[in-house]
Amino acid sequence: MKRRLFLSAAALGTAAVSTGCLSGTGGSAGTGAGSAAAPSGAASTPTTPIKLSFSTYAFQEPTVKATQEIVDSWNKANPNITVELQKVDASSVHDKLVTQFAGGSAPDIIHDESADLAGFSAQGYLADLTSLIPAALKSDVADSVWKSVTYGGKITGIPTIAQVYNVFVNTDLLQKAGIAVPTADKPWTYDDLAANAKKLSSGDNFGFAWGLKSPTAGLMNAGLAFGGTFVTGDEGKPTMKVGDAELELPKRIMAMINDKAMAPTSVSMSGTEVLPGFYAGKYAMVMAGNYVATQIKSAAPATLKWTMIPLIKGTSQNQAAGPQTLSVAKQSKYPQQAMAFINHYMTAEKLAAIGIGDSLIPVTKSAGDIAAKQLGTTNGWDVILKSGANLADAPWFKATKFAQWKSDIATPQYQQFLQAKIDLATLGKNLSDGWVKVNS
Amino acid sequence: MKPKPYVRVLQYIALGFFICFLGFPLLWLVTTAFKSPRELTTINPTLFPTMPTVDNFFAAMTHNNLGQALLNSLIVAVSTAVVTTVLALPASYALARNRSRLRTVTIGWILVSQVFPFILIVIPLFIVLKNLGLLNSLQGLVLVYVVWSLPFTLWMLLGYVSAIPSDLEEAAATDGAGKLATLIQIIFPLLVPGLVATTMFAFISAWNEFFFALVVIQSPELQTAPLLLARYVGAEGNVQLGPLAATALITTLPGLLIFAVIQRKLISGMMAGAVKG
Repeated sequence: MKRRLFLSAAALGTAAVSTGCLSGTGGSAGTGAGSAAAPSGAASTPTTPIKLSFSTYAFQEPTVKATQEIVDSWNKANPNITVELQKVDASSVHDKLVTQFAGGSAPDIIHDESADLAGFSAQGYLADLTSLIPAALKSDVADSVWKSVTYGGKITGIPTIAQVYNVFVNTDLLQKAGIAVPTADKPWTYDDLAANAKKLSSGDNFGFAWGLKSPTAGLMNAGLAFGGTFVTGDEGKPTMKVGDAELELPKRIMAMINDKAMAPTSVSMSGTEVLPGFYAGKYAMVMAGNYVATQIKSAAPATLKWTMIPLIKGTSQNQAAGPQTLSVAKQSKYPQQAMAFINHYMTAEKLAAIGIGDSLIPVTKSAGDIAAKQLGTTNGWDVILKSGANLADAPWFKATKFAQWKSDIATPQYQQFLQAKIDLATLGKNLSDGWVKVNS
Repeated sequence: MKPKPYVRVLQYIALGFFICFLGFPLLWLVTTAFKSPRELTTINPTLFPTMPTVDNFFAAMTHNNLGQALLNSLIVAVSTAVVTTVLALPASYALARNRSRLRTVTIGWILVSQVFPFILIVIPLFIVLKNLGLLNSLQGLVLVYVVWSLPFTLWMLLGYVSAIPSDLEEAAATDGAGKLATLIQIIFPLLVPGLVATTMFAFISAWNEFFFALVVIQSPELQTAPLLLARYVGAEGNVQLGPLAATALITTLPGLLIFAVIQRKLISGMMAGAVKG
């Protein structure tokens, strides 16, 4: 009897302690709006040493090295404001930020991509940096790119480097087929791409391949070349219209597959899994994010002669601007100092090093000029760096439910379409119906 | 009854296929670790590297501080295994020998805790650890792992303890042995195989765990091996296959070595343990 009473009391005591621990945490969760003053004015030099945390998903070795050098140079010049680098893997960035924001322990400076900012901005987790951006930096970046990081009228992420989907060609195979490599003033249209891909196809070898295992980003971003904007209306309650413009690119891809100009197996491969086929000459041309250039440089056979060609033209050469960004957490106690570090990161030489390391396009003109000087015309880098002018605002990135729609609706629907399990009309209907469902 | 010769042959053939099925991924991991980036992207992959290289191991050890990550994982896994076992052992004995309502409630708690999706508790867990000052610390991670693996460890040990007849304790009591002496000299030695099995389970669970470590650990110097492995996978399916394989191989070795040493005790422990009502 005594033992039972003791055990019951112990169980009740444990429950009470647990409840006490959990109830004491209510204040720090939620919007995170309370802890930091709104950023304003220039950074001030603190009288006591402070530490800023900077989380980054820099992945490719040259980029990791360039990022570390930026942090080291900042720490050397600012001994009272130490920046501590926190490396995160790309696929965990969002999950980690969700817990960190909710727990009030977000890093001061956050490296993320613009597509991920909408939700965090809407929940008030990211500081409004509009008034902190120096005029020189503002004028150095295209308006369309600034628009891509503006949520509810506030700029919550400073754009750094951006990606386009471009075509990599095997110049030897093109030459053998009598096909001239296009130039910046005479780019290919999608009709040209299809015709030349057909010309380059024979037997088991295909003229074109595109790793569309995760099809949504590629098809939507590159599909902006046909004016497919998908989302319209108020940022808070956007509506989706999937019309001819939005379905043009998937339609053309399917036509190329049916015409045997494009490798059908490539639609089930990732963007980098098509590279072995490109190296072996099985695919004369591949479409991929331009970051792939770093891998081709290190892994392709020395005998492979390749180049990047200008962005393929639809009704325009536009592609969605979805740059990587640097944000400041609203919870940060030192937003001005955090922004000062971002300004340091964004200086032309440093941003150029980051862009070259990741084989991505620096969004500032000054950094782009430095990268262009360094890379010259090697492997078509001159035309790709110029394509920064074709980066256009993608309205779907502003929708807070876009990420959920992308993973739950768009990706499976596009995959089914590319496997010929559903037709184009059904794809369009399912995409828009899915949008309504996700937003209801 | 002795099986017929042809049956024995078929059994060995089936066993051979099973070993190949289990062992082939490990063999592929080992050979991938020694391949250069060029060799990893050939269209016709080869099992064995044509030009073996150790560059992937150098990259793993020098660029990402693998040594520190392995040490962190070892500290966390050993601490988790020890603390979990120390807590679970007396608790399992009490539950096995006392048929009360508490036993039913505890077993129910164990079962419910195993089906609960841990992603639902990760945010409150983060907040609790932050308030306790245990965020971004190996101690906080050990605490999380102990709490997470304790129910199943308790469940496993409960089975092993139940398998030991209570007659042995009664016989010891008849001979004048006290409760403590009975536990130390008779019960615990019989529990060694079970203890080894449950300790290894707790060790491996903590060694391989990723998500809680991702949430709790912020500083690079406190990262565990699974967090380091994840950093070789970039966006859009971009993978540094060679360094990933090298790191994965090095990370797998401690578990493999420990299993090789204690496998007899582990197998007998798994064979002996069975949940008995």
